[in-house]
Amino acid sequence: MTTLATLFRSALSNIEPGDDAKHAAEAHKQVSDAVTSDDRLRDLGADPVLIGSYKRDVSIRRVKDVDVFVRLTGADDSLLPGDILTHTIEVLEDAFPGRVTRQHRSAMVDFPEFDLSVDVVIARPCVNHPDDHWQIPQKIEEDGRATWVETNPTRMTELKTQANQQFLLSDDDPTSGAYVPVVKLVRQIRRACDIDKPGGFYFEVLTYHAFQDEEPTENTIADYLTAVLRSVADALATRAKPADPTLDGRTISTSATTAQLEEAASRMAEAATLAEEALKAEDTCVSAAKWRQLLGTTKHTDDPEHVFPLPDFCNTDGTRKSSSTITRGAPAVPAGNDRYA
Amino acid sequence: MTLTEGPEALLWRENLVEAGFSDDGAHLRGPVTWEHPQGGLITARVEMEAENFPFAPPQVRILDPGVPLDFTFHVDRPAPRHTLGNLCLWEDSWSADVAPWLEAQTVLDRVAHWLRRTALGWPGDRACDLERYLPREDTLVLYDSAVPLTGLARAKKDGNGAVSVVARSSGPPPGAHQPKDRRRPKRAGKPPEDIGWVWVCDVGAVDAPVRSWSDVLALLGADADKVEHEVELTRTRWMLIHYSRGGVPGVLALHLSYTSAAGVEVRSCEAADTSVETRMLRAGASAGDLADVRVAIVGCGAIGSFVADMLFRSGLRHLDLRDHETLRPGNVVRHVAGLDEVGRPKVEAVRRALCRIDPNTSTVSVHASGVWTLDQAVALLQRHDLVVDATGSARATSLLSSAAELTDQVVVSACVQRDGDVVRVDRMPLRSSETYLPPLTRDDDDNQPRERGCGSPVSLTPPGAVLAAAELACRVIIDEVSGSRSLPGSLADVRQPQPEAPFDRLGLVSTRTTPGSGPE
Repeated sequence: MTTLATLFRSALSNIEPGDDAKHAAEAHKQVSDAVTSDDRLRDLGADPVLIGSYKRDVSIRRVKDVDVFVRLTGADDSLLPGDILTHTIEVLEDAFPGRVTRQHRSAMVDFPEFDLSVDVVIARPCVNHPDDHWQIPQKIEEDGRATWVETNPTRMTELKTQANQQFLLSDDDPTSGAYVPVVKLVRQIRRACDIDKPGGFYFEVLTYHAFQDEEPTENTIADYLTAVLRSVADALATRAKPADPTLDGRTISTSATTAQLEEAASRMAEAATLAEEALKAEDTCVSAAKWRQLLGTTKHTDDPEHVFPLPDFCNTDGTRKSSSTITRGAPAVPAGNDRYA
Repeated sequence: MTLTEGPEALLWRENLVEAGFSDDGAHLRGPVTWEHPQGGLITARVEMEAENFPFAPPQVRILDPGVPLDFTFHVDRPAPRHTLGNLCLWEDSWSADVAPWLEAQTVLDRVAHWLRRTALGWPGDRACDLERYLPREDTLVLYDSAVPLTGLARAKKDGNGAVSVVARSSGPPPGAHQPKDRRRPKRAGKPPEDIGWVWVCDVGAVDAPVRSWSDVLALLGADADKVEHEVELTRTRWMLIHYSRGGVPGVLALHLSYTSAAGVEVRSCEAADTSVETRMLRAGASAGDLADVRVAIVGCGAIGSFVADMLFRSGLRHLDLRDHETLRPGNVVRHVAGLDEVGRPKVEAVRRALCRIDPNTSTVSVHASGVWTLDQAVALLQRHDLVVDATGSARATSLLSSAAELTDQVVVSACVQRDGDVVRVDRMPLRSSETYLPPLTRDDDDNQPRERGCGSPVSLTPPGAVLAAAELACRVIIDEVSGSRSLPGSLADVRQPQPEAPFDRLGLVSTRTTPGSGPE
């Protein structure tokens, strides 16, 4: 068993959003300020909140887009989604001239200086469960009408927090949650496997279910990741839609085609096998090379960078460098221990 | 450049994971089984960090000892913003290739041993390190163990920030604890500042660390109320506590600050003994034998000044320094005295340098004159156990050599040759069947530099060669005056091989190592 905890720590550091986090916060603030300064939206109780992987602390470098959920707390079922979206786009266009794009149920604001965009989604309290969750337009028709679908993005944040408190590396440390790091690593592996669809949230939900189903109790991130990856791969292989953890009886939908789902299942099965081999390897360099292969390189960065660091004493093919270049400090003291200076 | 951990560090962590430890890449947490003296086998939970592994031992903290256990000795104060202190598992410095903590199991065994010793109360422990259990203050507190004090004493702060504990009736330090020497040079800067009272006491053996003001008061016994009153009046702000652990004496220096809101805040300071005995601990094993030996040094230039310095540091106190020259700025890079002594006679400059090692130079005599006649040389030899010739002058050496033959007293002559390529020491007179190494002829060099306004050419000998010659001379001197007399009549250290045998190879050369030389 080779778990290489310090190198996993570095790998996780390498996929942290870094500056993207600051930029996302600043972009969110600018969008929120624009939305809440409009009289009509303010009268509708506009209350913007960040959602998505960034909000849940499971985003990875690089963050290309963040989602803002404009909760219209005063809206009722008479609200026409197309009308209010059009108005919201006008408000945003005034604030961000030439940088706003209408999408089929949201508005996208571009922040070229941050190299990211903000998706603004309007939401109303759920007609049937106004205290529990929200509804967003599914697809807006030309007449401005739309069907509304239920969603509860903030619930996923709560579930993330619970899972991270439940699955710990050490019971001695309540902050040693393994769930969030493993979600990030699974997201990175998805990118490393070049899986476009299903998207990152789909894999996050699969990971959530893997934790709930397997209830792993491990001492290292390597152990947790290996156990979860196999469960995720198996779930993909069934091609069953995963249950939506935030809404009873609902499932997570994906626009992935059957072929894309099959391809994703195949890639993740390979990834799970690679993780098992890396964990099982007796030799540090062999193991490190496999973990490095599994986690691939950063995406959307200026230059792709390996996520998993290779130990200085290892070659990229998993062999060891000659000992003379690796034994720092040994033999460290030619004169022996009886020394004074 | 960011280095990943070495193979030994990664393997060490894997071994701990196999032993049931969790590893988040920074902290390892897991079980340690240890034997309680009464409770049998207990499982503790510990936390480790190994940031500088294998060069430093892992930092180990006890999360849960498994049974109620008071941590006493051998555990550091928690770092700021931490609640647990690191265990002191290994006090010694180890080479990374043989350090005992390289094996994970050895670390676990050591922690188990630490827990058991803690449960036993550290019987026989001799560590006098009470200062580590209190917040630290970066002030050095000086005291003289040769002048026992109890009760109230005065605290005086010198220009370096060190605080000296002196008797209540003592005059201004420094040197209150030193024998008076009127010729001691004045110290630069402000005189020591009187900063209040010090409570000095001896509490005998201690069986628990001092972690708070209440612990301090508990040590003071019947004096506690009196001292607390003094501290609350902010008159007494320092404390010097003599104690012992396992029969070994220790001293704890404390700085006390009082406010009505916070009470007494106590911080520990580094304490240091200024007694001659302590200051000479590092002078070498023969220091005691040298204390009454009388040595004259003729020539207090480059080699002579460092010979005087090394002999004085080695414990030799009866020195007679002779040189007629004045210290020039150009001398300083190869002289024990600094630029601040330029303009003084070299002998006085050397004596003042010795004062910086020990202010008591009352047995060091200085003479700003040379040895010009055989009578003078003979008289000098008769008054001393040994005379050092560090003149670099053939005339002076021949005078001293002749005097040595006449009196059968020892002269040790030291010199540097070939611009520092060879350093050499000869002892005169030779003992029966001894011979000298052959002489080295001078390489005349018309291009030798001359100092402006000074007639003699300047030797290009580097300072290192001067120190090497002085060190070799001191070896011969100490060998002679200590009665060992094991070294040959000539010794040379060849720093750059010369064309002539036996100086054609690197290293130490003597008549014993010279082919063809007779047995001594």
